[in-house]
Amino acid sequence: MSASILELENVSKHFGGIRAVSSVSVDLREGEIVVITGVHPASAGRIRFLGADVTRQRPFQAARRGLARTFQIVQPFPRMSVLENVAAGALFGGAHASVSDAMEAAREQLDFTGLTAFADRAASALTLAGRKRVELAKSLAMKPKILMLDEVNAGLNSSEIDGALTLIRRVSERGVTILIIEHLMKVVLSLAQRVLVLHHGELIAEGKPSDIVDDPRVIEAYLGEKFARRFKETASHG
Amino acid sequence: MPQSLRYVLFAAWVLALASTPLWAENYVVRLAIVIAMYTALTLSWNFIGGFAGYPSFSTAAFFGLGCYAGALPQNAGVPMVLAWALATLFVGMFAALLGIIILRLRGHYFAIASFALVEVVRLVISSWGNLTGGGDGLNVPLVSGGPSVVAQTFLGVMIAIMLIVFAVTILVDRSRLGFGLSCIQQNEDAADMVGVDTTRYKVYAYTLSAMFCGTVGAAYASWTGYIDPSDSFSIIMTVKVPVMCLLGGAGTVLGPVVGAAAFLLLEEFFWANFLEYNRAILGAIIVVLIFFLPGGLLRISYSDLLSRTVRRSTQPGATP
Repeated sequence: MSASILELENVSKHFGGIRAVSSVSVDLREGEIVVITGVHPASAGRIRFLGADVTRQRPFQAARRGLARTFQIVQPFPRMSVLENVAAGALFGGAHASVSDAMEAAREQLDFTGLTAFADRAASALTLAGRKRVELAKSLAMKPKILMLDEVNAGLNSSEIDGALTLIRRVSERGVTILIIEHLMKVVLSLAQRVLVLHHGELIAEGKPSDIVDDPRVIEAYLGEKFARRFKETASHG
Repeated sequence: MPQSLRYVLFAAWVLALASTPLWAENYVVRLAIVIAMYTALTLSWNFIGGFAGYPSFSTAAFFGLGCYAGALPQNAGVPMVLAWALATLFVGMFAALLGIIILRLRGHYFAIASFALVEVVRLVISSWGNLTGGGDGLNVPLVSGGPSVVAQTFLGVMIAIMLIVFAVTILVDRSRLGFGLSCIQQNEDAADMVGVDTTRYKVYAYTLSAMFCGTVGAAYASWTGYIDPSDSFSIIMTVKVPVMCLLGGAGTVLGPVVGAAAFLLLEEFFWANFLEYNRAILGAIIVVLIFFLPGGLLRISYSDLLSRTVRRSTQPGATP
């Protein structure tokens, strides 16, 4: 098993009176794809990245250290082209020295994510699936060690989701550790090497996707009897 | 319009301003000085208001501080040009320190804080009588020579300052700093997430927007030979400069140049022709212009407009 890249120790987060995450401890190992399902996690407590305490870092410092994230609600630079959006990631997060270097690096990412044809369009003119892809390309341009994807598939149709999943697998093949926040079971089960299930802010299960669907607490909290049975049937048949 | 043609037009405009002493009376030369001066102020404002999208109303505070920071050393015996450089440095440092505090505010809150700055600095200067002369004002050493020699000197000085700010604008526009500022302007949270040190970049933009206002203020003090708090810290100036920039096109390289020129020429025209109501008419025109051209005069596609006009005039009766 490879070394820990991100360690969370007793992390909690409150939004007003709502306890979103309480005292969760998780280790993330290099190169794996982990899906957190249940609730939206956020930071507080103690978080270590490659051994260094990064609990109190500001977002731009995280970006420069190699922790990139995408948002559930896309955050483009609306009046910039797709290329410039991705170049922003390369220039500031990927530490390219000049604007023209960053543009070059951005073109590579557009190629990788299949956005080359849209390079000169305004980011705001793309479909939702396209804008989510721009977010992903922007994060990849930051040369992340860990890529955190927050509901990248929310609002997409079935074939768009398949496209996104293929892309995420190819990113993983490049050796990037991937942490995904997701509710869609299709994504959770087909992509994850390890799944963490949170319920009312507490970690109730952790393990391989096939073990998770057997866990009675997970079935009770999320899946329902019917889904778990159907999943096991399809797994045994195919 | 291609970028190179725009720069050719800009060069022609600078030449026209610089050559006024050769073909026009002193009144026009004075107007050319004022245009160069306001162009420099508007280009300065563009760093924070245009590139970074932070609506700053502190132009008059920096200009006024520049007046005094240039005048006081001269009265103590420092040579004029050195005093202008000192004023530039002083105002730049003042803005950097202040920016670290007030750039934590966003949107309207930042606008109010930047506006309040003008009044605060004005009150400090007018109350500190034994240093600044208070409300009695301050005499500044005069440049030797007759009125036309002085006018020609300061025309050259203001155009030089304007060209320096213009060159810095081009550099910023093409650099990492300009890219980062435009990220901040479009989506500050997203800029933070891709690794832009937003606070640092905003402080840079605010400092750039201030320091050349300081230079202009110091040169203005030497030009007029007398400064007082109400003239140096005028609320009208602090509002005029952003309006000029918006009129031309905020966040572009040439927008401030076009905006300042258009505003001042219109102002001059209405002042000469409608003595009573000139401000009211000018105000109405500016409201209409900014309402219908939110991107400024530079964002209009002139070739589009031209071809449409040509089409309409060659096909009379045809509905567009």
